[in-house]
Amino acid sequence: MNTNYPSQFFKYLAYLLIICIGFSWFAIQNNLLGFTYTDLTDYQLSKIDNTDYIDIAIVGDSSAGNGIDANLLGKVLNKKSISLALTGSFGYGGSYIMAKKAIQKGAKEILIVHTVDMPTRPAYLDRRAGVFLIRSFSDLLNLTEGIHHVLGLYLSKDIVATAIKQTFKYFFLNTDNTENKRSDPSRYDYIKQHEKINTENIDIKINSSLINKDKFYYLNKLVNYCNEQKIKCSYAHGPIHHSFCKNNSDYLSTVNTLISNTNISLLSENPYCMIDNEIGDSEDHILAQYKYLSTNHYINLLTP
Amino acid sequence: MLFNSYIFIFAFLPIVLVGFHLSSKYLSQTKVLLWLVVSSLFFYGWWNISYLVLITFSISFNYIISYYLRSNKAKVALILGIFINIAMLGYYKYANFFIENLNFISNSHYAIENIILPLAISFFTFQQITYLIDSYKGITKDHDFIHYCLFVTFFPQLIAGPIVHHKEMLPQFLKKENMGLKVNNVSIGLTIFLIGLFKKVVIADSMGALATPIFNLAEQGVEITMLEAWGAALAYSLQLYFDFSGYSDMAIGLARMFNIKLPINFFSPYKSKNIIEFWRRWHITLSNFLKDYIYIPLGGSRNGKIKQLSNLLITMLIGGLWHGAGWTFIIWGGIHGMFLIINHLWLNWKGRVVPNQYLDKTITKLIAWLITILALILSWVIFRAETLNGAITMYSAMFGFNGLSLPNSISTLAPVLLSIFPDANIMTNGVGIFSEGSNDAKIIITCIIVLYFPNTLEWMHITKPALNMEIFFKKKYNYKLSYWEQSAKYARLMAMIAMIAILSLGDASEFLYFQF
Repeated sequence: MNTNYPSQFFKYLAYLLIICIGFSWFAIQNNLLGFTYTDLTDYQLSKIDNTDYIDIAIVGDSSAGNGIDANLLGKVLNKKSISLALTGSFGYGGSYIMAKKAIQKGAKEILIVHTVDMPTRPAYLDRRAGVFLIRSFSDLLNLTEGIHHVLGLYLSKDIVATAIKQTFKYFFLNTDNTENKRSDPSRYDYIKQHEKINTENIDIKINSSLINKDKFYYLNKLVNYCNEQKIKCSYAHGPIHHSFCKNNSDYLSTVNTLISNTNISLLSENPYCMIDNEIGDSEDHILAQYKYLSTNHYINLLTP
Repeated sequence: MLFNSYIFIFAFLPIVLVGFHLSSKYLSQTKVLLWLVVSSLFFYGWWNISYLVLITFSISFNYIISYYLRSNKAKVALILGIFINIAMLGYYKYANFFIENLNFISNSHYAIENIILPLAISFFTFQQITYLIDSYKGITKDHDFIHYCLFVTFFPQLIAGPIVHHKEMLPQFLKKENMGLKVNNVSIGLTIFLIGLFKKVVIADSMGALATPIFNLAEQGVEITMLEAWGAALAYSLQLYFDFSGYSDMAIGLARMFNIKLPINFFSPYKSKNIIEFWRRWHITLSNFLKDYIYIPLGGSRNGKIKQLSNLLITMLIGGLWHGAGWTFIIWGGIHGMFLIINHLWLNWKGRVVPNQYLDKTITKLIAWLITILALILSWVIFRAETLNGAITMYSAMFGFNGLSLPNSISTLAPVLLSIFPDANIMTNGVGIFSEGSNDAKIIITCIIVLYFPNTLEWMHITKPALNMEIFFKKKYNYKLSYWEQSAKYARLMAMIAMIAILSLGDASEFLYFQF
């Protein structure tokens, strides 16, 4: 019997844990994980802090950030509106937290807008959203669902792998982290888009079998919170390329059923279908110059 | 609470271990075992606190009946005991299935509220039925209620086995020397647990990611090509093995940390050269249960060959139904029953078909292994399918009815194949997720691990990691890889394995066998 075995095991494991957590921590602190868009989250969180009152808070992903002009919507509806849209990486988890924060600040109505393929994305991303939005100790207690969420961030293989890669790039390749630098959210009230994509070969088909039912966990939580606080919360699909609207009636019908099952008010069963000219840097991003068109779509949905 | 979750690894397990150690030091043995019972019930109630009522009733009822059976040997009490257990299992697990089929046959519309299957009900019901039968036979001894509770609820094996036998477990709980943490057992247990965790979160889950989308498409009726279907069937075969044997390893490792040895449950089943051998290596504790409590009471091999073969078929059909309330499981059980019948007939006839001098040749063994593994892969398809239609879609793709789609890397072979098989439907548009070389490599590496590497218990065999291993160690195993030992080298290796497993915990998934 070698009594050193467990002590050696735990010693080496501790070294490895420190190395992995160290890389994650460094990468997060230095904004090296491109997909977290710290500039954007800081900007959106500061809006909540700096606002006296909110009539309508728009939460969601990039389809909402690019597709809804909160100022225009507010002016037409004569209600103070702010967009708190994050990105698809935050999933429904991000929307839940932003909506919760907005409601705590006094928001009277929440509009949730997500891209149509959101239910097919991995559910674990939503669980991380809370951790990316922590800005204080009280956030740590209120936004995460326990210490395991924080561990899930610092000790997940994709975060650690990206953190190691980006840290080496940061020190040895001296590359710019352009993904974060391009955002400048105060100028666009969201992230600046890349170049317009070629729309010639876009043909979106999504099979219903790809829907991940666990994905609705945070949407359910959001609806329950709205009900508890007696706040009107409604859901709408984000704008999407017209090929989706032609090809995916089965998928859309399944998604609509699952969304309705959460007891949220689904404002329309159909998304705003963009023609080729309106497409920006992604199939679900409208070009900035046409943002007013999709905004009008949501104004109509919200008009009693 | 999953074994592969942060809450289990970083909170529950350390707390229970510390509690076990401290109570062993300062309290009586009964109180130490009570600590383990309370911890196990907490573990079980974590999923749904209402399940606790059911398991508590089940334990109390079976304890009272077995107590009565030991002193009275009343057959009526035994039948009542078995009936109540089967009725409970039937209600929670099979009522919906029964009503669905009744409605289908009689064109009626009976409805019952959707019943949620309580976790582990198949496992703890079977364990307790064996206890009742053995109490009737006078094999069990008088045991304290706490000891009996721990026999049923001991958290390492509660949810998905191994199915334990009272004569293996209760004497271990009674031993005074098994109280308190032992560094040696913690080291061995921790190592086995971590290997199991790695098998589950790194290997099984990555295989599942390849298999699930294809099986889901088949359920939707989408046409799948031949290589996609075979790739998914192979990936699922690997997923199921690593998932379930990983769980068994974790259970064996956890129990060992508490100085308890659980029975062996897997021993490289995919190395089997026939189906009989496969069932001696796959879910060994279930096979033993089916043999001892169904096959032998039915008559076993005592009443002639035809009766023996029909007993085998009945046993496997029940084994199939035990896995789940669905026709796919019953058919899967029937298929394995037929495989076993063919295997038994072959054992009788092989001397007449193949000359004796060829039976021990490597090529003969290779052919035997190939036939066995193909039969297993084909049978897992219906086991995995949610509906019969889904299984048929997969089978039609596997047998080439939807054509052959070549991976991009060998698409240049299409003209050659078409010149040999001019009527074949050969396409060159890739094979979905299997077009990516990294996914193919994952499957190949996993196959190498299964077929070349020693299994966990072989690698750890000098520590006598599980009960009933002797049968597999009659001959000496000679692997080029060294066996595990308590050294700094292996401490470092296990720390690496632990770290990789911990990094994969973020997207924790449930074990496949939780549904059974």
